[in-house]
Amino acid sequence: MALITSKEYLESVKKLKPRVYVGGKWITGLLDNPVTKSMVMANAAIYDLAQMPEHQGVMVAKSHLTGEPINRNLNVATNIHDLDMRQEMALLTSQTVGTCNYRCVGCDALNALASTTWEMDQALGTKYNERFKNWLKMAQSKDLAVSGAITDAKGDRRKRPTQQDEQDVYLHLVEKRDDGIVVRGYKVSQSGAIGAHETLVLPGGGLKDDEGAFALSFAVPNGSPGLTYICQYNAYSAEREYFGDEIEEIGNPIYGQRETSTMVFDNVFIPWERVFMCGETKYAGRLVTRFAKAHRMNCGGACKVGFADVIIGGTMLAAEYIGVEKVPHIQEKIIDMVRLSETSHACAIAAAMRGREEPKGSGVFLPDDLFGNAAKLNIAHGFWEIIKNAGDIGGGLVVTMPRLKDLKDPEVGPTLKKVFGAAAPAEKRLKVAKFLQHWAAGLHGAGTWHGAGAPQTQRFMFTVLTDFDKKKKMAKKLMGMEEDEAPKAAAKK
Amino acid sequence: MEVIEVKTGKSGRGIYTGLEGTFASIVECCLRKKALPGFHENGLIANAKLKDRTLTLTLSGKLTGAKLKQMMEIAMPNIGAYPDKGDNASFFIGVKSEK
Repeated sequence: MALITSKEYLESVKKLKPRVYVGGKWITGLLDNPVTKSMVMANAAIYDLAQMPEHQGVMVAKSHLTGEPINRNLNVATNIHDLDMRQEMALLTSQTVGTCNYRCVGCDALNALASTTWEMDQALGTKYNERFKNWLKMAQSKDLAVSGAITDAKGDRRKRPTQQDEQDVYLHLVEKRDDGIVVRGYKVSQSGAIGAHETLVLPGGGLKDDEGAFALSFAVPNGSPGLTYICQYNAYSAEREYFGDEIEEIGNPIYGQRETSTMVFDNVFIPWERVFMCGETKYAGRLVTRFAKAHRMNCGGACKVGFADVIIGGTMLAAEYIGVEKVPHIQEKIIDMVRLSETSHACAIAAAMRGREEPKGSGVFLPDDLFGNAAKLNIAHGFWEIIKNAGDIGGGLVVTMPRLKDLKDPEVGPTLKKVFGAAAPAEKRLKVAKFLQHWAAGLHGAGTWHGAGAPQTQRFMFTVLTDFDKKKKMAKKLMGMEEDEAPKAAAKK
Repeated sequence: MEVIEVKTGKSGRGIYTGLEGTFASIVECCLRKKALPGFHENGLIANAKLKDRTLTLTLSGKLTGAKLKQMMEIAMPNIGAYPDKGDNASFFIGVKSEK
């Protein structure tokens, strides 16, 4: 049963009983609350994709451990084709659900772990890679939904983890025992962790020698005692609760906005077989960087491009419904939306095509860092432009519209139909306006900005990865300018 | 992989497999945290004893064998143990009702 159906996933979710808090309530069943249900339904749709013959080239891979067909969300990339299909999966899933593929972060985390645990074992003689492979085999055989937890709460940014007044703002080791470790602390902004069977936890960033307590990586089952999920809550959560079963009123009716949570680890026990890093600070930054390079290609250059595709489609419908689709400046703005999104997708494809084995001998392929960062940085800025144009073309109606069901109200409905009827009936206009509201006035702008790391991290990577001296030399050569002499004056000082 | 046999009430039986350390996780939950994975109410575990490779749990309340079985079918996957077949268990959990 290496590939399970959405039905089987939903059956398994009925037995998942994580400790989940949503907007003042403790959830008894993930499918019983409209907010958590939307997240679970998105995951279910991703399972469905892997069952569809037309999508199996993208969604199904061959396990490098067993040779069995597996969901690509659990695949370790071992060649360029795998990397290319990985980014295509991010595109397809976003086009399908219009929200997170909630298995995406877990996928990129497991690729970073496959690479880094191998490297640690080679250098340190540890058994992390063997453990990781055992865990992965199990996850693949059950087709588990695996999320990834990276971002620590971080507290006062002026202080290192050991200097924080509140130690738990960085997930840390409490106790090392014969049978495992005990951890506590917080991981924030965890997309879809509530509906995952397991979460892969990584350190939040690079660490110094004396920060070994924070150099932790492990896999934790979703219902582990001591683990609590405090979900995000916003106007869209309230709207979904308000409408209940009337989901047709909502911008993305079935799959909703991106649902995240803060994971609270209150002395959670992790047996050694699930621990993939414990104290090896030297490798923490490497692990996170490898995660980031995979995730920036996928999140920036493909996932958000899938979002852009549906936004562009919705925007064109909005234009057609009021009869402006042939107006030159409207067409120009639509083309700009396509330019912005496809440029990022091109970067993702380039990142995959220029991918390479890292480290040599590991058998694990990771995308090109520069192109992956370019994909993410480009879409971080481009996505605001895309949703700006959606709001522009969609019109003020995107944020001023009444409820859809108000059209059926015996008193105001007939008036509203006259008010909003145009080149298409009012029902269609309002439906597409609500869809665009989901994007233009929703959570995805800031989400795209920060997801896979805020743009400042990509700018930093550009400074590290770009050979600026080489560029200056090229310019000088072209101009016929001689190379400067070594700065003698400075040397004398 | 660890194979764990779960006996509920007088006749219920289930086999689960999980990664090494899964049984240790369950023992940690039930003995130290006094919690059954997937169940968040306080006081559910009336008693828990570990002897060698056997964990004996007494759950509070008047629970039928069917109910105990149903509860363990929820508890086990929540800690990473999944239903399986066979009879080569190396760890054992016995579950009974308090009354």
